[in-house]
Amino acid sequence: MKNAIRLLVLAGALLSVGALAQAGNATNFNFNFPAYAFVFTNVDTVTFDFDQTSGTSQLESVTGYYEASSAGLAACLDAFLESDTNNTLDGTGSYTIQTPSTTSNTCNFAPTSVTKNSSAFTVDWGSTGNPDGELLVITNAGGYTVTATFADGDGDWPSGLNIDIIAGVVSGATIAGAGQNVTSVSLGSTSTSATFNQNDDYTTQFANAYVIPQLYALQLDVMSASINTQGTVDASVTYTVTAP
Amino acid sequence: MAQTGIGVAPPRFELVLAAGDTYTGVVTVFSKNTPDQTIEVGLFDWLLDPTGGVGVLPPGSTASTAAPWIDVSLDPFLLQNNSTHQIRFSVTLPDSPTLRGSYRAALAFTTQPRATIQQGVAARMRTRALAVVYVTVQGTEQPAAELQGVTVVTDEGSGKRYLVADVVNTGNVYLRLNGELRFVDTAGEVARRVELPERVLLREGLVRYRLAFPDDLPGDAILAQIEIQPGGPAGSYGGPPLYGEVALR
Repeated sequence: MKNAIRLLVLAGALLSVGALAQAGNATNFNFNFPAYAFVFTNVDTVTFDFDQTSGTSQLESVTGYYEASSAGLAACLDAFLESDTNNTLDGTGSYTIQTPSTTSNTCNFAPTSVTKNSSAFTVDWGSTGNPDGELLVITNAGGYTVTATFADGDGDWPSGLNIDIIAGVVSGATIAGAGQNVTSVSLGSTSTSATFNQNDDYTTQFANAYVIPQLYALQLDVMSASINTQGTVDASVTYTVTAP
Repeated sequence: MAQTGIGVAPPRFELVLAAGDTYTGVVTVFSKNTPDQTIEVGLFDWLLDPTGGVGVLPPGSTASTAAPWIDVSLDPFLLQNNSTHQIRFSVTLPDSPTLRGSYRAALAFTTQPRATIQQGVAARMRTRALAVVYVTVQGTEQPAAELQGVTVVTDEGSGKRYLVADVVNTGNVYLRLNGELRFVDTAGEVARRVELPERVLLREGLVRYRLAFPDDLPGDAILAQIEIQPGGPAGSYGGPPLYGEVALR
C-alpha cells in the first residue's frame, strides 16, 4: 500500500527574520565576579522558510544539506520518489504525492536565515568553514553543562519534524567538531533535550571561556510528517548553563 | 541585536545548616552584549543524568528537594544591556529530626524568546542560568560511594576505545568527584595520566564515566586504572578514594 504525504506549501513573500547582523563589533566578555557562569548565543532565531524557489543572498548553504527552499525540498523528495504525477512543487496551495512504501525517508535542510555577531574572542576553528551559530559559555566555576531543551509551547510543531543541533563546524564535505567528538542531536518528536560540555567546546585565548559552535538544520521525515506551513510553526530551544 | 544571553554569580550555593537556621543570600544576574531582556524567575528541583545533563523539574518533585525552604520573589524583571540585577533569597531549614544529609533546589533565570513575525518553521532560542542551592543538615553527613562496572568498550564506527565506569552514591550527601585515568606499561610504569574533569554525584545519583583512550597511548600499555577522589559538601570529607582497573590485553 502506498503512503501518501501531503504538504501545504507557503505562498507569499519571503520575510526576513531577526535583526541585522552586526559587523565589526568587538565585545568584552571579561567578568569580575569571584564565581560565575554565563551562556550566550548570537543566534536568537533560526528560520527555515520554504517559500522560495531558489537560494537567495540570505541563504547559508551547508555542505551536505539541501537548501531550505521549495527547490531544495523538491530535490530531496525527487531523490526517492517514484517517477509519477503530482510530484512537483508549484509553490502555491497544497498537493498530494505518492511515495513508495519504504520504512523511512528524511530530508535535511540548512537554514535560510541566521543572524550572527562577533565577539572579542579570537577563536581558532582549526578548519575551514563557519558554523551557523555560536554558543559561548564562560565560567570560572569548574565543570559546566549546557543543556538544550526543546519545547513546543503552542502545540503546533508536527511529529516527524526535528531541529538538528550539531556542535561543530563545516569543513569541506564533512562536519568536524572539537577534538574528535561531535554531538549531533535531533530535538523534537524524537527527543526533547541534549547536553553539551567540554567534549564539544573549543577553548579560546581567554581562560574560562569556551565556544561551542552550533550548526542548525531541519530534519523532516517525509513518511510521517504533515506540515502546514501557512503561518508559523515554531518551538523554543532553551540553553541552560549549570555549574553544579 | 539578535543575541541572547544571561549569567549568574555565583552559580552555586553550598550551605551547611543546623536545624532551624536561616541563611540569606544574594544572586547577581547579569547580561553582556544583549538587548534589554525581560527575565523570568523560577524555583525548581533539578537532577543530573549519568552523563551530566541537567534536568529541571517542578519544585517538590524529588525526595531531596529544598524548594519548600526557599523564599524568593518570582516576579520577572527587566535586565538592561550590560547591567546587573540582584535577587535576594532566604533558606530556612526546618527543625525536624527526620532531615538528614543533603537537599537541593535551583533558582532559574530565563530570557524570553524573540517574537517571530515571519512565516516558516522557526526555532526560537532562550538562555537560562541556574544558581543551584545545596542544603546539608549539619552533623548528619554520611558520605559514601561505590565504583562499579569498570570496563573497556570499543566504538564500532571509529574503533576508538573508552574506559567506562559508574560511580554510585550510597551515602546521603552530594559528592564532588575528581581523579585521574592512568595507563600502566609492561614495566609497571605509568605511561599516561589523564586528569578527569570534576563531576558532581548527587544524593541517590550515578555518574557514568566514558573516558577516551589517548591517541598516543603506547603500544605496551597493559593496564588502565581509574582513581576517583570524592569530596564532600562545601569541601568536607567525602569518603575514601575509589580504585578500579582493567587489563588491556
